[in-house]
Amino acid sequence: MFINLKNAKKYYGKGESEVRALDGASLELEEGGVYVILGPSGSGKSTLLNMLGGLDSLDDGVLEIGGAKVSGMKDKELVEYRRSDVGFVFQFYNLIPDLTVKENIQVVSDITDKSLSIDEVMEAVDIKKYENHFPSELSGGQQQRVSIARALIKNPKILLCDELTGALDSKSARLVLKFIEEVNKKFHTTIIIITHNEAIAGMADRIIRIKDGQVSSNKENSNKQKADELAL
Amino acid sequence: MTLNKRYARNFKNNVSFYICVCILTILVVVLYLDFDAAAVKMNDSLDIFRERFCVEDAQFSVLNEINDEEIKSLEEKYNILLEKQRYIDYIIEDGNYELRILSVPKKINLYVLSSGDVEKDTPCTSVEKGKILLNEGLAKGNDIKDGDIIRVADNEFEFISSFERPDYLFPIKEVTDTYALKAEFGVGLVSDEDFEQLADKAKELNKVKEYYVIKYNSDNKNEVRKEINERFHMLSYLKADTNTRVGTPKREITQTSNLMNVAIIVLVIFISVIIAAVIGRRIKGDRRQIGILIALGYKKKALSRHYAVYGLVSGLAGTLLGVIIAFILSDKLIGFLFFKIEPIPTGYNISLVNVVLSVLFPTFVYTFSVYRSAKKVMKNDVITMISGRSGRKGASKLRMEKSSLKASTKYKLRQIIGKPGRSIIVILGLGIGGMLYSFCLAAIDSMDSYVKHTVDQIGTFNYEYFLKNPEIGKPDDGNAILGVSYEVKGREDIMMLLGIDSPDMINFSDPDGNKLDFEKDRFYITSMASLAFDKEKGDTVTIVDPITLDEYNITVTDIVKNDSQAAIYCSRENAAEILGFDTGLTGGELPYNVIMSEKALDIEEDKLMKTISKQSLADQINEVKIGMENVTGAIDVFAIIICVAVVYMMVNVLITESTPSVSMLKVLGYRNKEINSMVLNVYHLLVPIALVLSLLLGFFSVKAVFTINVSEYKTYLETLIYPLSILKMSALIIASYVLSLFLLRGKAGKVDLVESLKDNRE
Repeated sequence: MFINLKNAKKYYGKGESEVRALDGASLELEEGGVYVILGPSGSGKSTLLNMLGGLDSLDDGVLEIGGAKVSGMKDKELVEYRRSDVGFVFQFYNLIPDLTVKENIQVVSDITDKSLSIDEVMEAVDIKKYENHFPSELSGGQQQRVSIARALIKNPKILLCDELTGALDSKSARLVLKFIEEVNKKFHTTIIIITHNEAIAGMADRIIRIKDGQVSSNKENSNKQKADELAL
Repeated sequence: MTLNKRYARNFKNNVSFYICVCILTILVVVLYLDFDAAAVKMNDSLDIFRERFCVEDAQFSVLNEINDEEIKSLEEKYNILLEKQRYIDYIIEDGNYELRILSVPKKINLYVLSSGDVEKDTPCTSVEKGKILLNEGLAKGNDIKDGDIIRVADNEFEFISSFERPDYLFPIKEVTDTYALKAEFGVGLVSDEDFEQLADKAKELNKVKEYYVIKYNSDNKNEVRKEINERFHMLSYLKADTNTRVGTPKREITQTSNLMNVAIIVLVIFISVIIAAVIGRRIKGDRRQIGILIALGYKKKALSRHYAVYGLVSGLAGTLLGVIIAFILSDKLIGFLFFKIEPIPTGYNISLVNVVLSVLFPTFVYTFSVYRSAKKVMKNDVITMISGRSGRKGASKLRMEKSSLKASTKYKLRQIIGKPGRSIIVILGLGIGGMLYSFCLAAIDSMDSYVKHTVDQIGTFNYEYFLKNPEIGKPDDGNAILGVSYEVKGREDIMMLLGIDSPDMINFSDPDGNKLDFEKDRFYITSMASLAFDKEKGDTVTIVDPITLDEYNITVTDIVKNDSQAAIYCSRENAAEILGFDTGLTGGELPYNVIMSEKALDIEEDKLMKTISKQSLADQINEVKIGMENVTGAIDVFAIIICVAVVYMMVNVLITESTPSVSMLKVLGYRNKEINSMVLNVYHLLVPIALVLSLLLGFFSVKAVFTINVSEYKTYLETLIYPLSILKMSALIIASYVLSLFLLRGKAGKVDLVESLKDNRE
């Protein structure tokens, strides 16, 4: 298995205020698929994404990605893991406002030795024409495409998308998901999308549901749809 | 109000930032209170000392002694005070210093004990038999303590106290001296009986010097001078204004006060405004919380007041601590400021008005700045504030499309150009800090260069021997010069008229180095006289005979390069004519009273009035240089504090304002070192600009001070700064800059990559 999560636990706070964000979650996923994780607020979706992305560490349990044991990594190793293996796309894009579109991508390209061509990636998500624009000069959909390009430039093994269409209108959201679909095909990148939006689950190879810090279901999507067919 | 709980949390979370604010505020308050108190107090105290202890208006010597009856009659006729005063110079072998025993004055130049107070104590007119008083500089410089025995010409005196006289606050041996070598020369007082005993012995050696001091009470100076000259044949007349011993303390204090009034006020306002701007900026980072609170129903006025408390607390904490430290350090700083002159015995109280001002001004500026910032943020609509978009104008939209620079370099450039306010504060902070240091270095280097090189440029002579009485013809050795001091009309300074036969021992070239022809009936002034009296080639200088008050107009033929002496050169014949010397009586032979020589001459002591060596000019400037070197350490500390604190605050603000970007860089896999290199090192590019600025500010400040102080130093010092000093200054600024970044190196690392992402909504 490409992703192997066993009995993952992550608790915040102590005593009465303790929150069990992950409480024995287990999950196995193949490489190269598109996976959608669904769950209500507070179910532990974001915590799971943070663990998969090396942004936070488990209190207990095991997480292996691509054969590497992420759960035992120290801070410095997690930095290296994020640097080489993980790409992130966030709901609010998180672009650096003082860098242009091209530079927001270049800033990642500068620190990786397996960088793809910046122009090629910009063309892939159709933002080449905005390369010298600053984020504040772009629409939300355009910014999200820049965010995808930035995540892809290092050719990550895994692309983590946290509510990537949450701030977009349906037209922009469909376009962004289409690019995600194309990225998966073109670069064979493992893509994990966390969302509230049930409709997005239609494009997943597998649909994972989280509840109370545990994986309540992990089912293959027998009725997989193309992004432009989704009822967003 | 629950909201008030945020204060303690905010101060705790940003403790290093507020410590920085406090340190700079303390510095501001200490500088303002102590330096202002010192300068103002010294100025007032000196005026009181001079008035209550009756400082002379002038001193003179006469050929025919003025007896007590004649003194009384002159006093009554002209409503003046007139007193004969005497002194005897001794070399004190035990202590390796020179001591001038003065007769105890009864009417003019009265003394006060150093432990006393010029504002309260009655002037002293006597000393106990067998006891001796010494000026404080000499006593301290030679570690003389109460009860120590001072042996003067086989007489033993017990040292009982230090004293000060208003005419010897600048205790120099000759009025032509520039710097008081306090450990090497000083003055003492013994009882009248002891003085007479010493004088009896010294008379045989012709060592008792007599002169008269005068205090005018009405505008009849010229009448008095004329009568004294006619009746008693005045040999010399020296106004208090042109007497270095009397004039220097006033000039020194006035100049320092003026400098303090400008420099300290500028520094205080500058630092206060920087701090206010920085605290204000931090409030902008709170825009989302402000938006939320408004959405919850808080009134904008209440929120403005809430935020203003951050400025109020920072201001009060810093200023109150500053007031306490100012009181503790006041005495030391006053001594530090006026190291060249004797301390005036008085208490130094920091004025209550200044204390109130020093607390109110920074506190008001900080509070107002924060209040204004909060109000400005609240001008945005609530949704914009909550989304965190307000106030994020972003850095410059400098696109640099065709530039091949790395993205991180472009980011730095945009931070610098796009946020000019921040950049200017960094440049000024480093620049002002560096200026304090470069000022000292440039002053020291200029004096060093003077001591080593400039003084030699005035000519090949090494000695000028001033004779008591003029002689006729030519000396056996050396060049004959007829030299007389003249007052310059409308000015307080005196200038020497030097009649020479040829300028063979003088570097007779113009300021550009072109050799000048020396000719009869022509008058050349030195470059220093040109600067001191603002006279150029072709101008007329009116000189006044200090004894007869006769005036002479001299047209400046050319200017001779000599930055060490204010003098007019002419032929000896011309000088004799001006003096009214009748060559018919000497068979055409001309008089001389100064011998200029390259080597030391053996001239009989009773013929000699004084000797000026070129080395002594250098030595005195060297003493000023040593004094300056001693205070440089303290100035370094001020410079480092300003540099470190300003950079620390600005980079702190930069990191706080860049938190979302820092967080994102972490998510993207940037190592802390790389983040620091991108965010922390933004201002590297500004350091060279600040270096150049501080160098220029320091250099030109020194140049201005030297120009203003020409009359005090009696020399014009060419301003320069050695390459080694530039390196030292650069090292200090760079070290301060690196230190502040070092102190902040962990701050970017502490940015929480998960939490800040939640806030990062562009």
